[in-house]
Amino acid sequence: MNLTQPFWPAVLGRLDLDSLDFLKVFFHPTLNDVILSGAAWAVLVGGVLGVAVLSYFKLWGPMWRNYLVSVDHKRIGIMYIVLALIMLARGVVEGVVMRTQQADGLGGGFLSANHYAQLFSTHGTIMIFFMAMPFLTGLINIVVPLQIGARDVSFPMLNSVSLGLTVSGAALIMISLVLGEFSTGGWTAYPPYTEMSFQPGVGPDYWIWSLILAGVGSTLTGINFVVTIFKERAPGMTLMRMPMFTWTALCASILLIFALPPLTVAALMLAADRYLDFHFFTNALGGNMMNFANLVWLFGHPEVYILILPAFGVYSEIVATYSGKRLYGYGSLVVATMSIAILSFTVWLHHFFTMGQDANVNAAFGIATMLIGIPTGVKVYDWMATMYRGRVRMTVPMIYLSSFMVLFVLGGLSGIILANPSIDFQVHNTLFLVAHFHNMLIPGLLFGMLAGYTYWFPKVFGFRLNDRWGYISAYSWIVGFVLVFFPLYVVGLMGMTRRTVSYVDPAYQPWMLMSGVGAIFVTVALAALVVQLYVSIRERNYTRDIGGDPWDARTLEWATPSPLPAYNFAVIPHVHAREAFAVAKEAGRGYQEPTGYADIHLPGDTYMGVIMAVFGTAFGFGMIWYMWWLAVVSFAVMAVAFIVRALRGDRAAITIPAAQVEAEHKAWLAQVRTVTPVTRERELEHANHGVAAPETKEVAA
Amino acid sequence: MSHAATMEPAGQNPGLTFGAEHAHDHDHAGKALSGFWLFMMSDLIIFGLFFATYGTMLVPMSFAGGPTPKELFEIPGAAMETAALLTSTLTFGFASLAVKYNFAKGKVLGWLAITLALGMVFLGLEISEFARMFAEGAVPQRSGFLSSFFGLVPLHGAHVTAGSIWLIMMMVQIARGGITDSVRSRLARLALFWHFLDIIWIGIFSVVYLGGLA
Amino acid sequence: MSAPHNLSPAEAYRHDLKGYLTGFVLAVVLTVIPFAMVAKGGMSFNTVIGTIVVLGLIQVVVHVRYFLHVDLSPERREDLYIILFSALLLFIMAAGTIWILANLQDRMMGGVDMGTMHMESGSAGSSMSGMQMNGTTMKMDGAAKN
Repeated sequence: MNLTQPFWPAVLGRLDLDSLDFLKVFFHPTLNDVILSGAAWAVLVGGVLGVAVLSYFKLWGPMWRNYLVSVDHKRIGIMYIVLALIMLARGVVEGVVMRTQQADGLGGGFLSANHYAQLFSTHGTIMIFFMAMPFLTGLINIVVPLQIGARDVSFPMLNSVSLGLTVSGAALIMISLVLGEFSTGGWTAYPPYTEMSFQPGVGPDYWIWSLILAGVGSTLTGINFVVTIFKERAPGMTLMRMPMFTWTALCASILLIFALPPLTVAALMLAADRYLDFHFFTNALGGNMMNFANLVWLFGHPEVYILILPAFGVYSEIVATYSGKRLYGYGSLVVATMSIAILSFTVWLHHFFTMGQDANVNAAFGIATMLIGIPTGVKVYDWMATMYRGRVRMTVPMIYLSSFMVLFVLGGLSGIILANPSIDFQVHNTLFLVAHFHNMLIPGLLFGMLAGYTYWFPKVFGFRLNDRWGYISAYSWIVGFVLVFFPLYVVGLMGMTRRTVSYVDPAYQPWMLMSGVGAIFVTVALAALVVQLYVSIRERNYTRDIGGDPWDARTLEWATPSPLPAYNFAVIPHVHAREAFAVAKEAGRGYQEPTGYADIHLPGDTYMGVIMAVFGTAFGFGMIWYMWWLAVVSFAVMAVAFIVRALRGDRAAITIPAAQVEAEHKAWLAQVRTVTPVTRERELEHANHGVAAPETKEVAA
Repeated sequence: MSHAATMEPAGQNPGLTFGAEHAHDHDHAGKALSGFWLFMMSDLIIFGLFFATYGTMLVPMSFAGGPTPKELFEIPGAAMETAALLTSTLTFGFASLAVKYNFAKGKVLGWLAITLALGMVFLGLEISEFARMFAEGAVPQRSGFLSSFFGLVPLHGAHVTAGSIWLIMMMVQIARGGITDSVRSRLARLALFWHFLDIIWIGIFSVVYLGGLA
Repeated sequence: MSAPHNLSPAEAYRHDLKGYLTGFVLAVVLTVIPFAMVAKGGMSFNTVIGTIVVLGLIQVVVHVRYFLHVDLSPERREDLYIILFSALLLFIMAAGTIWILANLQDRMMGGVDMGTMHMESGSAGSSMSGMQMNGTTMKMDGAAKN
């Protein structure tokens, strides 16, 4: 078929046979192109396999009814986390390929420079926007309404729309593996290199549209959760009684609302430059590319805290639970969280100390950067004080927590070093920096998310995750992380620049080999997570969480059955204390019979999320490939869907009659009474069915 | 939310109680309004950064030898646009009052129609101004400064357009179903949006037009 | 916007109407003054700019008070906090952007294409240091090429 006929460019835009990455292996069978095509085939085969599995087990209907059109915050949270785990797998594989390349990179290696540049660009973009953000959004979605005693978020339909937009961004990134190439400009996509004159292809356009779509989704999520936390709290759940995770979710949501706009602005301006020949950031005719760095980091620094605050929240929850003590320094943790949220808007220039502004400007931002270490330090002390004299159980989340405390403080120290502009001038753009931010984000974000995943899994699915594979994964992550990234500090100080495909100085090689070995452990860690999920599902009948409280935990979400009913709470609780469930259990009132039941109203399903996901992807795809008809049609469909929904009003709410709620709740309470409570010593055994035996009172020392 | 529970002596605190469920007041309009405030503030940051970018482009390097604000802008056009938008904010206020005090739906529709007409006048003036600039060769592709102008001012225009479409939708909804609770709630949000756009316009006429001509 | 509760509906309506009209009159006055100043010309640049900025900020407050009905009353406290918080962040971002980029402008492009705007805003002194800095940078570039 000849694609150069005048008809086809109008339909297919700039898509042609050369864009089909999965064919490259047949034309140029070099190792580089085998990997390139292999990735494309992996996506295609993975997609086909997914469709086949869903069809074979006849899961299309259930998936559609129970997940895709659902507005249940728990289901939406699960979908976010599934997305995050898929993208985590891709991001880790990309990281491993990059480490392998550099281990082999003395004087060459097996990847082309262009391919390597695509790898670090997608790796960064994916890990930040399509792994970290969906993971924390998913956890917030699942946990926050439960922790504040609510039945759902304030805007359930909007929640589905946010998910749809995030999925469409992720879908575009996945499509970039199969069709065309991704940007080679790094995850921050600095112009002028990402302008038309240097990258006329589709790469930067994939970056622009996937980030704009996901960014709008995240902004809406932020709005949703700020309103939810302010307006949906159960009676008695005052702000200062909210669990720490909810506090961090609140601050992260506020950051989402105010920090995403700079990214949206930067991406829109770059799009105007590329599509309409504007001159925001071009070399010629008065563009100013330095403003892009400014805008991107106006977003980028608060983003760091969007990522890390929810992980701090997870750590605050698990440290209290697994130490069997109330959280130490609650007030100081709240104040520290809020201080971090504000200060995070005052440090962005430290990402470009070397751009040319004078020493006074650098000094101001350097000092602000050092200040932000103070509230973070307060938090670490609070967690340590919580563990102090607690009966600490070294479960999988606690392994993550304790390694986090050591590694994160080390990473923080390298951050304080970088906060000094005169030192930053020496090490900027080296692998020292790469080591630093991975040192913050892997223990600070990924470990926190995995700890939260392990901790809340039984609440959502009704059975515990296998702990043996959990330990294997956790230890592999820790060892792998240390081996991969600590050598990068060394070579960074030796002067090895980041984002280089190969090097000529043999002194780097031993460190690169060590880093490559670390990549093996990281691969094992990822594989162990998959095995853990498989084993856990297979053994689910032995690890049922009937009582809903497998960890003798302290906050409201554990006062519910596992898995949760759609309405969360049979009766909305009245909260009389901080860590109310722990206080209730101490008073011997862990499982109470409510005095009365009422009808429950839940929001109806919506197609808006699916429409956003499908037509958002189509819109981005049309823009990227210059298929203007597709972009226009898709945008129109999305707009009309909103208008139609607005004019027709909300879909009918589902009403669950009081009698049914009462029957279900009483059945659960009856079942709970048949379960033998377990002590904490037997927490990880099959005997643990989610009812905690009362702790023996601490002997006052 | 009762604070009485905090007064209970230690050890007596029940932590949680499950009373009979109250008839929950699902204040949806209030929540939607709060959410909309947050959306507008997010939008405010977007505008603010377009303003800041425009500010950084007011230097000879970014004029790139092309037209400068003094050569481009004219007082009468800006004044008329300002008059149209400012008046429309007042007429929307009248529409809000007509809804609040349960005036006949014809009155509400009338004020909304006048508001819409003023919005259209504003957009028409803006488009003719852009057309004049284009004719003079002052296209966004000419310089960084013009790019930032055509980033900021049409962004506001696009918001006014979106607001106008929303106005039309509201008029259709009112004409078909009268002043329902849903209409009240949405009109309250649209009012916020419309007044907010007028506030952004204060920034535009001050910074772009008056600042450029001063 | 709420009128005091002891008013009859008709009185409350007049009260609210008066609020909108007050806001409108104030807004018109605050708009006309800077327009007139610029149209008439003849005043110093700094005076005109100062007036535009101050009156513009006052007008924003007028709009927030009379059209968005956000005042100091307890029931609007929440919205007031949202606005003040947003204004703080907006100030940090916008002022920071201008500060950083003006500084860069002076140091990196100041010597190349000095126009009248810089002279007027009184940054000639810092542009001088910018020129020197620029010279050094260029020399270093030259060395690197060799």
